[in-house]
Order: sequence, then structure tokens, then C-alpha cells
Amino acid sequence: MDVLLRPVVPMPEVVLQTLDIPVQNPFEIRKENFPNEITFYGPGLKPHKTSEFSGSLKEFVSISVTGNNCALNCEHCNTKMLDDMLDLPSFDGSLFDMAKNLQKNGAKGVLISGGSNIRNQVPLLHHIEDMKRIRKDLGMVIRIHPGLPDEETCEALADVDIDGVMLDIIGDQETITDVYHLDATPSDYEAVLERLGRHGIPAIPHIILGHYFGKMNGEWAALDIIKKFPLKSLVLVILLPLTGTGMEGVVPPSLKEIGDFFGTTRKSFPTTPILLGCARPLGAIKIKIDRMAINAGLNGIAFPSEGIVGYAGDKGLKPSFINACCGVTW
Amino acid sequence: MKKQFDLKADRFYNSNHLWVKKNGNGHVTVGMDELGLDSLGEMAYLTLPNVGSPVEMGKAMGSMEAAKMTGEIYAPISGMVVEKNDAVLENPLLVNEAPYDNGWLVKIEPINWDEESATLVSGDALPEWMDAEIERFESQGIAG
Repeated sequence: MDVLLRPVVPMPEVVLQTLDIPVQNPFEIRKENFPNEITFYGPGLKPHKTSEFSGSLKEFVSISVTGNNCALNCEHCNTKMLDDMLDLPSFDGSLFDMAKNLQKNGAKGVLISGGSNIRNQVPLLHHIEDMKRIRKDLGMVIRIHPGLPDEETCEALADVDIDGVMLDIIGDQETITDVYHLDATPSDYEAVLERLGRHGIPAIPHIILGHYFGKMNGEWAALDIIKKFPLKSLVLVILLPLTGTGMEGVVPPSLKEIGDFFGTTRKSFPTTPILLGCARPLGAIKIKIDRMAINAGLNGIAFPSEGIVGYAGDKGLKPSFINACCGVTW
Repeated sequence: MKKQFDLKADRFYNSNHLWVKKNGNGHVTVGMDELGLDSLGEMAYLTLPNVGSPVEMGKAMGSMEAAKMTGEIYAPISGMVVEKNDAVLENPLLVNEAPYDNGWLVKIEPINWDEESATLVSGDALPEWMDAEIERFESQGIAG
């Protein structure tokens, strides 16, 4: 009887659409639409070295404009992700000064990130002029983590010539409320993508698989939202339960769920670069996830596992390596 | 206030924060120390050399993936691997939980102990060395 009482959840549009697509191996879809190449990324943040890939902490550096401060104590983060970024408020100088110092040490690009206010907006507006100088005077690549930028912020960012804005797209109200503790709805995420598109700012949406305490709640709906807007690329990440957060001890989605999602995403976005981002469970399972990403025809992988470059080669993919965030090119 | 880390006085240490303990049978046990593990975070994956493999001081003998770093494990001493700890391969977190006991990595039959152990830190030099290492980690932003 319980089953009869449950509300009927409509099947996400992307799933419905893929049902109409003739059964095709997602890797074949990739072969039809992209060259036989794959890029492996080392976005800084932590030392990463395998027998096939050697990351650099100097080429691309993440900066938090709020240091460790964030008004949202999200269950999956609890400000832990800010720990590995440079702390701008503690630096004796402006954002431009910091970028200039980094460039002297070999940096070619920066991720400008930070904690949010209670509306999930990263305070970027008073750094806009510095960002313009970083682009114009230093020629560095700029990626931005804006949270959910408002109209004023998008308008200002449009003049900076940034390489892309990276933001999590959440299609599930429970995740927004219970994980982010945010007074927002999925339509707010849709509005941000619309705003970015209208201002000509390259959008790089991220979907976190298992964001609702390890469950796949709104990921398919997020694909539905994203599909309506132009993208530079799409990044998939998987919940990495961190100690000291509300997700400690949470079990991430199963390999089958992850693999199915990879495949559906490839089928739904046959010509969009899809990348496996930095966050995902570590260890032996990571190797399996990375292999599934290649099998599902994804175009790039950050922090590749041991042996995965060789695996891609066995599939006929020529590897290239960039020490920066997903999709950055020098 | 500075974090404090336990160092066992009965063993030798290197700047990669591996420890080496001489056993009664002439073999040595190798593991990771608390300061190194604090900067690495939780260990998620390890590979170790097979029994019978030669290892050379300063050369890679395995690899690890931890929360804050992925990289190679460099042999702190040269010799032949006589045992590897299967328990840490099955449960890498054991390295964090019991770094000086059940979380050891490999046992080695050293081939150049006298010369190589002289380059490691031990005995009375340990407290001062640890203070300097903590300062180095903090200044390089790699403290946990």
C-alpha cells in the first residue's frame, strides 16, 4: 500500500529523451563527435603525482576572497574546501598584487573563489577592477566560483573576459534546503544559468552525484535544467565525504548509479565536452570510476588515478596534460 | 599554539616523514610518522613493493593516495623487502590510526645500514628536528 501512497515523480526529461535515442555505446557517441583525444587535469589544490602524470601546484592557483569564512555551513563542506586555497584577506595587498606574485612564481591562471553570504553569493564585486587588470596586464586565465551570482555581479563579470564560471547546479529542493541550508529553489539555479548566458559569460556547470547524503536525488533534474542553456563544458563530480562535515561516514552512490549517470549525460550532451572533476571518492573505487568515465566517453579527467592514462591509450585516446581546472587551455 | 606530534625514540626518521625501526633480527620496519600523516590526511589507497623486491634509498618503492596528496612513497633505506603489511593494503586508514604499530608499511633487510642510518634523524636530535619540521610545514602551507 505504501507504494500507492507515494507521489508520482515525473521521469526527468533527459532520461525520457535518451530512451528515444537508439541504444548506442556512449563511447561510440564520443568517437562520432570528438577527436580521439583526452585531457588530464591537475588543478593544483593538492600535490598529485602518479607514474603517468605529475601535477603542479604553481601553474594554476585557487584564491579565496573570504579566507576561511563562509556564511553557509553546507553539510558537504563546512568550509573545508576553502582550507586549500590562498587566503586573500590575510595577504598584504590586493587580488591583483597576489596574482602578480603568483605569476612571478610560474602561475598562468587563477581560480577566484571564496565563501558565500547567506544567499550563496561570493563577494566578488569589489575585486572586479583587479580581475580586469589580471586579465589585461598579466594575461592570466581567470576562472570564477561565484555561487549564485545576482544580476549586478553577472553584469560586472561580463566585462572581465573570464575563461568561465563554475557553479554547482542543484535540481532538488531537499538538497538545497538540507545540505546548503539555503532559501532558494531549483529555479534560482536555472535563473543564474539564464543570466550568465544573457551576459555572454561562459558557464561550466557542475553536478555533484550523491549530493543528498550519498543519494541521487536531483542530479537528473539538474541535467534537465542545464540542457536549456549554452555551456562551455559540463563537469561531473561525485560526493567525497569529508571528515569534520555533515557528510562524514556517508556512502557515495554506487558504481552502477555513477556509470548510468555518466552514460546518460553523454547521450544527452553528445557534443558538449563532459569532464570528470576533482572531487570523487579516493582509493580503489576511484580507479573504477575513472575507467567508467572513459568508457562512457567523457572528454577529460582531473587528478587521474594511477594507470588511467594507459587505460585511455588502450581505448585509442591520445592524452594531453594541463595543470589547471577542467577545460582550461593555455 | 603549535600542534604536538608523537615521535617514538626507538626509531630513525627522514624528511619524508617515514620512520625506520631496527628489529632484533637485523631487519628494519618502515612506517609513516604522525607529522607526515597530519599533512597527508586520511589514507585512501596504497601500493607497496612485493616481498623479494630490492628497494633503494630515496627511490620510489610504492605509491599512496591520501585526502591531501597523491604521490610516491620513497624508500628510506636500501635493501630487500622481506614482508609487506597486507592489513594496510586492505584498510589504508590503519596507517593513520596506528602509525607506529599496526600501521607499518614494509619490513626490509638493509644492505647498507650503518652508512644510510647515519643520514637519518634519531635519538637526542629528534625534538629539535621535529620543531624545525613543524615550522617548515607551516611556512610551506602543508601543515594539516
